[in-house]
Amino acid sequence: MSEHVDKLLTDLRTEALGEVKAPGAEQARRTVRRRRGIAASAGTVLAVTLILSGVALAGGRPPHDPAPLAPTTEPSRLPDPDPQQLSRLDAANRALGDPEKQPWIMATAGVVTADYENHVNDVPADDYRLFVYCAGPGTVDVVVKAGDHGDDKLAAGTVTCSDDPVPGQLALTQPVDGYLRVFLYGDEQAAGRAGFSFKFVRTAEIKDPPSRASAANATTAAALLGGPGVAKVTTETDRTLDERRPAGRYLASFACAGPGQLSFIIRSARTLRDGTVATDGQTQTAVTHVCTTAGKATRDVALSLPAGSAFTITAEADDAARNRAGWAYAFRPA
Amino acid sequence: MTATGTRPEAPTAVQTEAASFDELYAAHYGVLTVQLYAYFGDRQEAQDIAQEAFCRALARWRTVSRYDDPVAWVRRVAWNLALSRWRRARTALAFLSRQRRGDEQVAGPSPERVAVLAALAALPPPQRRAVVLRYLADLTVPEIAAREGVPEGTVKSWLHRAKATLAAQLDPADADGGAR
Repeated sequence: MSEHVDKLLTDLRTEALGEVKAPGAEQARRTVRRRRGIAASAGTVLAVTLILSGVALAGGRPPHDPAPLAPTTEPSRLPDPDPQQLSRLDAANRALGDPEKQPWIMATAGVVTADYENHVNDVPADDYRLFVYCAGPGTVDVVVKAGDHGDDKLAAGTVTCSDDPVPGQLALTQPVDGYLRVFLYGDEQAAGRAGFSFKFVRTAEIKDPPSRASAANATTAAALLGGPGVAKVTTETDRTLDERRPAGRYLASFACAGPGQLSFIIRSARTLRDGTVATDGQTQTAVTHVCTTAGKATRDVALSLPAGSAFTITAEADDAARNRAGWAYAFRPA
Repeated sequence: MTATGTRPEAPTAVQTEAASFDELYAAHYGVLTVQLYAYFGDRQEAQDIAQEAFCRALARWRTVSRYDDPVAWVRRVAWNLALSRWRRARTALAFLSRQRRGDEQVAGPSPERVAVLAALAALPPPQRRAVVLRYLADLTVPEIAAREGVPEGTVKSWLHRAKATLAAQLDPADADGGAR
């Protein structure tokens, strides 16, 4: 580039930098606190006191783009939520859980309105699960749309509100890096009364705790197999388990209880020098097992394990079985 | 909600988070604003968008602060934000910029500045972004290529053409000779 143009660009940068009036980091904090109601106290998970969009829309204003506000102006005064709204908003907020235990990429909370819209900027292309909680009466319809405009729906569903919120869960795929929009439509009972919260969690990072039903079904399945050395497994996530055994012939048996079906893949894999079991082992058998409420065991499967190897068992639950069914397995010498 | 007052390490962690955000803000708000200003030609709009990008970083600071390059995240958000807002509002911007208040204390731009902004504005958007990112954000060609999702050769081509155009418009010595 010519020296003259170089100089002009350098001058532009220098002069414009001198003219920029930074609103300041503190103003950013005020904006964030006001917009999301996140208390910036030490280690607080997410203390919501007031959500701009939810409360502002409660009075029947049309949905608005929660995009940038002029940072050089003071925030306008918004109506305070009443104690019942605050209580439910707090319940929905607490339902989000601890982000240290279950990371999310974005979360927010507010008072349910008839027509709420949230633009989520800069969502990387990936698979996500949207958890939506609603505390209070009524139901809330949830729609997720791609991009910052248009009607390309990525997921939709309805969440039933309750005093002890159970999350509605929507699986979605963000096809490209960029925007998502979340629309929440509260019914007459929920609008202005219920509190909501939602969070986006990467599917690969989901750490569902095992449900009581899954744990109970795992116990039922283990009882079907009986005897020593039976391992119980819950289905909140797919598992790959290592079973280190001396070389020899074995009988493997599986049982599951609850809804849905489970697929088991058993491989024999080399044990590496540091004790790790290789993940590229040879498939010995694959079993798809339909679970029942009373529990059902497979027939014994004969397997042989070469020296210096171990078994790996990969179990995958279908949607009906996920975190509801439980399973158990045993390896016994043939 | 977690009662956090009982966690002795929490205040220190929060102070550190606050300090690091403040440092990032202080070091990069102005530079980011200038980049957006050079691209869009509206300083107040650039300031608003840069502030919004920092707000969004602050809202998820625990995550963003762990990134290798938090500034890159803020810059990407700001540009995404700017481009999307720009698309929606481009027809209204000229009017809005005339209606803005709060700039009374700032002298108007110099003729040279007006000429530079006009010349930049005349460039095709990819070339304009490349120039801004290369010469005002100091990104390397590979970094720009990665950001734009194009081969490095494409970025070099954009820069070459942009240089020639800018030189022809802004450099009297190039008025009849093209880019050097």
